[in-house]
Amino acid sequence: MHINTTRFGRIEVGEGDIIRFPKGILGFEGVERYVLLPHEDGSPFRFLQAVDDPDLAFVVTNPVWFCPDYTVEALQEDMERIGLNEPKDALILSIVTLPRQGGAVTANLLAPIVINSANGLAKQVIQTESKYRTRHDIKEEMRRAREIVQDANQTASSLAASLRTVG
Amino acid sequence: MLVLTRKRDESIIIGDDIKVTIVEVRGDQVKIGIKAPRSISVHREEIYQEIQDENRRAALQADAMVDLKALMEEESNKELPEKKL
Repeated sequence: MHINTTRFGRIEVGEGDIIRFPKGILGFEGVERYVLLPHEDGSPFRFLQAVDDPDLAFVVTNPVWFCPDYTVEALQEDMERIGLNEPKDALILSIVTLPRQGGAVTANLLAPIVINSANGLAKQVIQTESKYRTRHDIKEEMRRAREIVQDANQTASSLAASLRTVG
Repeated sequence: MLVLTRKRDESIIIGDDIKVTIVEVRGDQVKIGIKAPRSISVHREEIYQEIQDENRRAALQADAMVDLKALMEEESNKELPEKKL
C-alpha cells in the first residue's frame, strides 16, 4: 500500500509493516496506524510516521545505545493489551524530542513505546514510580554510558534493553 | 463533580470493583489507597499530562530534519560507547 507523508513523500509499505496503537499515542489518541522508517545508514534514530496523517511523525530510538542499563517496567495488563507474552518479542523505542531553539536533544525514558513485533500491536507505556523522566539529555546519558561500559563488572547481557512486567 | 467528605480509613466505592480509601491525612497531603481491577490503569494526573505534553513537543516540526542531521554530525565526532559482546 502507499502512504503519503509530508517529509518522505509517497512511500510504499507492506501491510505487515504497519504498527497499530489501539489507544493511540498520548495526545494523539485518534491516530492508530504508524510505520517505522529508517533515518540514515548507521543512524540509531528512526522515524515513526503516522499512516493516516501525512504531517505526523516522531523521531524514535532504541535507547540502549545511550542508556545501556535501561529497564522498562510495564504492567502485566498493558502487555496483555498488545498480546505480548514473550519479552523477546518486545521492541522498545523512546520518543526523541528535538530542541526548538538550541538546547539538548532529549529522549522520553519514562513513557517508552513497546511494540509487539509478533503481531504489530503497540502501546506507549507509562511507568509508575519510575526513576526515569520524560526528558533525558541524550549526550549526557552517553557520557554516563561510557562510565558504565568502562566498569569491568558490567556484563554483556545488561546492554540489551530489558523489559520486566510488574503488578 | 460529585464531592464527598471522608475521614481517615473511610472509603468510597466506584462501580462494582473500584475502592478508594483515605489512608492518611497530614496537613495538606492526603495518602490515598486504590483497589481496582488490573484492567484499570491508575496514574497521577500530572505524569499523564507531562507525557502528553512531551509527545506534542516531540511531534516533528517542519524544520526538524535539519536538527537531527546536525546532532548526528556533532555526535559522530565523538566516541560512541563501546559495546562488549
